[in-house]
Amino acid sequence: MDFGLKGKTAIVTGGARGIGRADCHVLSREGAKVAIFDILQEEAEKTAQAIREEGGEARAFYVDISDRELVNRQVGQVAEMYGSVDILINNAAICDTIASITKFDDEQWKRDLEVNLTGMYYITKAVFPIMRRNRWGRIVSMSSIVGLLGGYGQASYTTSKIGVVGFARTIALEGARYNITSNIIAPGIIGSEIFLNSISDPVKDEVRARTAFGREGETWDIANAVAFLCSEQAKYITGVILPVTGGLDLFTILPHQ
Amino acid sequence: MLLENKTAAVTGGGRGIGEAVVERLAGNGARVALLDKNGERAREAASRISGLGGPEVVPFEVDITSYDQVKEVFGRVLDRFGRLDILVNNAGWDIMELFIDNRPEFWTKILDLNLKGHMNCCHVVLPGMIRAGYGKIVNISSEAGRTAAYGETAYAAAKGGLISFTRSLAQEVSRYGVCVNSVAPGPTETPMLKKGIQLSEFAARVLEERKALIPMKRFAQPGEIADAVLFFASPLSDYVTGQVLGVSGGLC
Repeated sequence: MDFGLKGKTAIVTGGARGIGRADCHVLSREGAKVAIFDILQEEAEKTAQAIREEGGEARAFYVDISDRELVNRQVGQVAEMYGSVDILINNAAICDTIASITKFDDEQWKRDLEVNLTGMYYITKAVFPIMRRNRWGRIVSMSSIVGLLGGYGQASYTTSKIGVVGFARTIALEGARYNITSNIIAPGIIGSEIFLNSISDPVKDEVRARTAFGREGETWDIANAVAFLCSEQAKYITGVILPVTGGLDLFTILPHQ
Repeated sequence: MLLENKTAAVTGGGRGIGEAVVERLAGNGARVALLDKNGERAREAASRISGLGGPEVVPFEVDITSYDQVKEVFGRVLDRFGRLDILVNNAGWDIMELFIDNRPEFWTKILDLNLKGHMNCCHVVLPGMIRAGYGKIVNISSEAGRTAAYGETAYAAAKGGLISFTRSLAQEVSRYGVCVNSVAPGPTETPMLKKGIQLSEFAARVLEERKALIPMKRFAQPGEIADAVLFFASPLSDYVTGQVLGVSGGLC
């Protein structure tokens, strides 16, 4: 299937590693030029290099998405370099705060919402006028299944991830008249660096057992869904939540379905 | 090609969304059994799509509300193809009127076709998929099954039932490598919709009001639904099961 993305320009936040990196590779294989926005400069450069070695076009940009000035400047850079911004993948997020509510650190709470929500707001605001001018745009924002279900010890992360839903659906309403679609992917357990390196094996198995398939997904599973939602074929799909969970959410009641 | 060497069956494949789905699956490499209640229509559509130069599209006449007929027809599909990888439950029908004006015969017919017919097909096809350890089932539901649908009460009940069926079945068969998902179209410009608007002032008015609520301010094209079906039928969605994807211009 030709996704119709040849010559389009994509910004992927948090594109240096994990799911974001898979997004970059798949979008590049579909013919898009990729701007990798990340605070991890070295890893972002490595990912860009790997894409160029595959014959794609990719550049790494140092961006802390909670820094409005920097976001505006770098989006401007991309638009100047590639002539446009057609696709925005809101993927960057931090989820390293784990604490029950009484022990939750106020500063961590603020920081997590600042990056996961306000950062997404800054960059979407910077990119939207370019898409509106082109009368074409695709925005895919990463929620998380724990955003929809709650996640023990993850107050700030889950709050930000359900916030993503409200934000992205509002952008869907505001963008519809300009052929800008805005959709949400809610990954389940995905075998990215975070899952593989920071969780003990028994806990991994416990989590796997909660999926219908009995295994974690791959970063490619998310990237394929991202590419589909960015495609020409998905032009009438907007405001939806697509869980990519291997059936994790089938064992409980999912809101918004 | 995404569906190289795959085989598929599409119910209600003779026109509208089903016909677009058959064309899309065949265009991506699958051999397709085109099932329709109207044999003449099935043969015409199959012959047209075969003429586009893809793999074979074979017409079959079947009324999916009859379990016996469904069993018999999928027997013949398997004789022809050897196995079945993809089932798209698309056949559907409705007339818009208020529930208070419905007759019991009407909602019996609506539930028989739009819900139980798809259960018939899944029940007959699943043993083969389970043995093979692979399968993709895509149920065409409707946004009517998730939101309130004025003038389509029985239809909405059937489609809401189909969504619940999709999720529960996904849970039961995931261990065998079978994915079950649903595409939920908003109002789509099909022959059925156009006929409904022509024949009924009530339907025309309700649909006009509904269009105004769609952020994209237009109805779906059958091909746009077919593209979402292709996503669920393909390896691109191998880790997705039990989900409902709205294709409705932001309606939901």
